[in-house]
Formats: sequence, structure tokens, C-alpha cells
Amino acid sequence: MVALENKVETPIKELVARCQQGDRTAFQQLYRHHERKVRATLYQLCGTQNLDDLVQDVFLRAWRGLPKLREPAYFSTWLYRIAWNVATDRRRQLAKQPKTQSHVFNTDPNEATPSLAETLSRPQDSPDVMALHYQGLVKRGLAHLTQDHRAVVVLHDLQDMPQKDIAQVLKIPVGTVKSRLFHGRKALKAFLVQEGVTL
Amino acid sequence: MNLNDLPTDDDQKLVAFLKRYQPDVPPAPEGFEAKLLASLPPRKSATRPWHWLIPGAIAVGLLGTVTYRSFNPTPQLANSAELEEFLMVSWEGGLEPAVHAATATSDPLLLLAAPLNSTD
Repeated sequence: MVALENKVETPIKELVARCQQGDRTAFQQLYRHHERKVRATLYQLCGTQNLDDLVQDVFLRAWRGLPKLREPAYFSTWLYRIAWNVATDRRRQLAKQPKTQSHVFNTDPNEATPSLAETLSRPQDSPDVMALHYQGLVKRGLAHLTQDHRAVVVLHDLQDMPQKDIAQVLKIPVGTVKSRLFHGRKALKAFLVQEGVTL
Repeated sequence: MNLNDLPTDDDQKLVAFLKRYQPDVPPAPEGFEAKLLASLPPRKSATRPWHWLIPGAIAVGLLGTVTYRSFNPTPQLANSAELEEFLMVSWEGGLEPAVHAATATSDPLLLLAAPLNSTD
């Protein structure tokens, strides 16, 4: 919470207060301030499929719920919680559909990226290609995790959110955050090592 | 914080790797922001609905009363003569028994005067 809010505490509070009165211009500023992080979080949790719809859903829910937000200083945490709820709803929705493919990142984990050997055998081999290969591995590694572990790893390690805030967003004790982070990292490490990455 | 909470060297390497090679997030399509803002529903009044409950109930009550009165007017006596006669009857009927009662028993002055008169 502290890391997220302090830098822009007053403007965010003012913007939230104006939004609560129905000021759309203020909401536009809030959107611009948070859109990238919300989009990144949803992408890392749910993949590319319907990403725009999910982002839109988050901000629509935020707009509707803003009049009930009593602590404007916690807007970011509150917004992340909405994003988490949207991602969870999306996961439940997908769970009801027949499993034809892996929905996270909209790829089949076994075919998402070419193997390292395949990548390096192509004529355009270069450091950029290696970076693409590693990006593919991180994608697949995140998709390999359970939703609960992935959420904690994404929020903590990629979004730099403190554990206390993650606990508030996910409504779980801080101890559970630590535990999920430990197991999530362990699973990711095992996956990457198995794929030939040396950490 | 205990020692187990501190990130290990392996953890730090893993996090650095994840940050460096995290997937590129697809940017929002052109016009997404405008579309989103246009889709925002109008904000309802900030005041709570129950704030209007009491004045609303009073207004509805008044309206109901007025409507009821207009369709069911109070019965009127045919004319003022009937009304006057009715009042006279009621007035006399109300007074006469009381006067009789007072003269017979209850007026203390009359009770005191009666024995004196009888001795004369």
C-alpha cells in the first residue's frame, strides 16, 4: 500500500473524490495512471484472450463501485482487487468450457515457443532471438503455475507489490502470501531449470 | 522479519530473470480509452435512496388524502335551518337533565335552603 500510494497520494485522493461526484475527466486520469499495470496484471494472469474486455470490465466495475470506496488512499489496492476478481471470474468461466487449449496466454504450453535447439538452428539466431526464447519460457512457466501461485508471483515479483498489499488484494493472510510465493517460485525455478535455464 | 523471509540468492536471480524476460504486454488498441469512457454508465445521485423515503411518503400521503376527499366529500346538511334546529335540540337535550338534577339534589345552595324554607 505504502509503496503504491505515497508517491501520488494527494492527486489520487482528489481524483477519486471527483470521480465519486461523477467527474469523467478525473476518471480518465485515473485510468491513464493505472491502465498499464492493470493490463499487465491481467495479461500475466489470464493471457491475451479477451484481454481488452477484461481491462474494460475492471474499469467499468471501478467506475460503478467508486461511490462506495471509503478510503480513496487505497484506490490502487482496491483496483487490483477488482482486477483479481475479474481474473477469477474469467477462470471460472473458462473452467465451464470444454478444454480445447490452454487459456493462459492463449497458447498450448508445449507448443508456445520453439525449443532452444530449434530457435538456435534458425538462420536469424541472435541475442534478440534468445530473449524471445526466454520470454516464451517465462510465459510458459507462469502458465504452468496454479492460479493462486501465479497471482502472488506476478503481483510480488513482476508488479513489485508488497506482501501486505497482496494479502489485502487477495483477502488472504500474509503468511499464506509468503507460502504461495515460496511454492510458486520453487515451481517456476524447477520449470526453468528443466528447460535448460541456469539460474 | 525472520531469516526465512529474506530472499535467497536463487530467489533474487529468479526474480531478475522474470523481470528481464517477462512477456511483453499487448498495448491497448487505438481508441480503446475513448470507447471505455463512452461506455461508462451515468452516475446515479450520490445521495442515498432512503433519504427520499420520508418526504416521499409524506407527499404520497397528502396526495392520497386529497384524492380521497375529492372523490368522497364530507356529507353536508341540506340547509342552515336544519343545522340550527339540530343544534338547538342537542343543546337543550344536553342542558335539561343537568338543570333538573341540580335543582333536585346536587346544588349545595339549594340543599341548604330547603330545610329553612320548610320550617317557615
